[in-house]
Amino acid sequence: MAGRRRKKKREEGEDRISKLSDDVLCHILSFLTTKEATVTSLLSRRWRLLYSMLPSLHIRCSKQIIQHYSNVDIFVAKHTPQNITAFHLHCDTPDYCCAYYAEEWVSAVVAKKVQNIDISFCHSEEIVLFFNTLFTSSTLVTLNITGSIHLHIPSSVHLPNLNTLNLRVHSCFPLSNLCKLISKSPALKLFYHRPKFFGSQLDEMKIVHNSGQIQVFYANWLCDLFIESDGDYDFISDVLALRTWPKIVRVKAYMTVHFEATSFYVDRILGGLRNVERLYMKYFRDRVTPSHSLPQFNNLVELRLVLRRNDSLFDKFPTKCPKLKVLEFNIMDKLSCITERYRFNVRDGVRQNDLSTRLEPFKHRTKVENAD
Amino acid sequence: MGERGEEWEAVMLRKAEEEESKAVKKVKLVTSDGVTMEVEISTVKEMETIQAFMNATDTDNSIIFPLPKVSSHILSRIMELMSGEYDQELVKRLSHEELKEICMVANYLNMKTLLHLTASAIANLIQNKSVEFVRHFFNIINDFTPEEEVQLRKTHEWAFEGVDED
Repeated sequence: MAGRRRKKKREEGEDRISKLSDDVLCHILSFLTTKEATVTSLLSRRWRLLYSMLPSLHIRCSKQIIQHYSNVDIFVAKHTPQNITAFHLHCDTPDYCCAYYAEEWVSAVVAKKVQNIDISFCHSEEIVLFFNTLFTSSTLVTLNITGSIHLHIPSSVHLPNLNTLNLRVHSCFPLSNLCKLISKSPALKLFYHRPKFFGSQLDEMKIVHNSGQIQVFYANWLCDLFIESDGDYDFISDVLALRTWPKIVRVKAYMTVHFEATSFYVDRILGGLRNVERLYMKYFRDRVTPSHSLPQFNNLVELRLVLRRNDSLFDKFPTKCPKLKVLEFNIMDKLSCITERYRFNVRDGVRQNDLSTRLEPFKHRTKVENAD
Repeated sequence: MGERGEEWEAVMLRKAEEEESKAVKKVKLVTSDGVTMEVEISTVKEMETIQAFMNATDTDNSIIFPLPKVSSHILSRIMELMSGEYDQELVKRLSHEELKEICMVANYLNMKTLLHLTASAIANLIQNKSVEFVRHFFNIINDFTPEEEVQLRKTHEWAFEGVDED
């Protein structure tokens, strides 16, 4: 550092701070917005170009930038090093100013091999955004988008390094391309989607993919669904393909129905889960005689029911499961309070021996309830 | 079966003893003002610069590590922050000088958590402050000519909009 030697003759204080290397100063500046970091260029010659070495952009509002630079590309070229790691666009004004330029920003930073993108808008009116080059970025690792946005997902998707995808937007369209987005992101560990309004095409969904284990959490106001596979059985594309999931086979499914009088909805979900191997179902309903038309559960080997006392599903459900080996009844007299529990070995549809006395504590109960 | 079990028990016992002796091992840090501070090896783990040196030497004797750039005052502040699990409240109590000094040492010793914490604390202090405030904070001498300064303000006009000059 030539600068340090030159400054040594100056007063002691100056020498002290010049011991903070450019790396450390850049680290400090990286916590500021791009606007604040740019202002530091006025401090002294040493600081004049520091802001342009920062590998991240934190934009609060595009308006002033656009007024002074004719477009985003020129600004990005002048303000950033060759590659940038992070791009944050957090606009908290109610205008469209940033939403209008979001597409330009994203294409500019994708060209700079950006790894992390975090975009959030707080304006309330809806806008459609097309981030075309974004979905073929080979460097992108995390992507967070929040706002009243209808996000267009192109049919051509390739995101080899994408690890975390977090979408809190109005909608993703077409939905089939959202499925593609997930299946064409081989490194994806976490996918989270929460619609910003009621009645979205896709309900709240979280997918966690870790060392061979896949967990899907799916929720709306009617029901929670938690599906997991221990092995490397990848059922994610099947989960996303439809709102019912008849192709899912080797999984454990935990289903909690929150509301009564939604038999149509419950029927459809149960229909989708008809090929799974293990099913846990919790449903506290007032009417204990089902209007449910249960399908055949031809693969089901373990069934655990948590129902109100005298619910007719206790009798009806096992008759639909020809391969059943383990059957567990949990009786609720009050909501979320299991008063009695019975467990049986089953062979050829006949309850063989009562295992009720050897019961372990209920492992998955907390899991499903925590999922709220 | 029984024999094998005992054999394993012995191995486990020996391993446990080894761990114990490792844990007890101390490192002596000698500060710029000549104070020797004895710290546990676990403390040094976060100081990657020292850790790299220790891995390279791999000695059984207790290690003496000189820190010519670190005063005993700053080192004891760092120890406080580490034992307080980097509590933000502890950071707020530091003087500006201490904060800058610790940030520099964190970089020198390659202590990632501490560097992150102090750098963000400094960023918070200078955020939305005037150019003069930041110059004063960092003891920076303005070496621009007035003409250069005007030119810079013009170049980055967008960034100076809405910034108070006090």
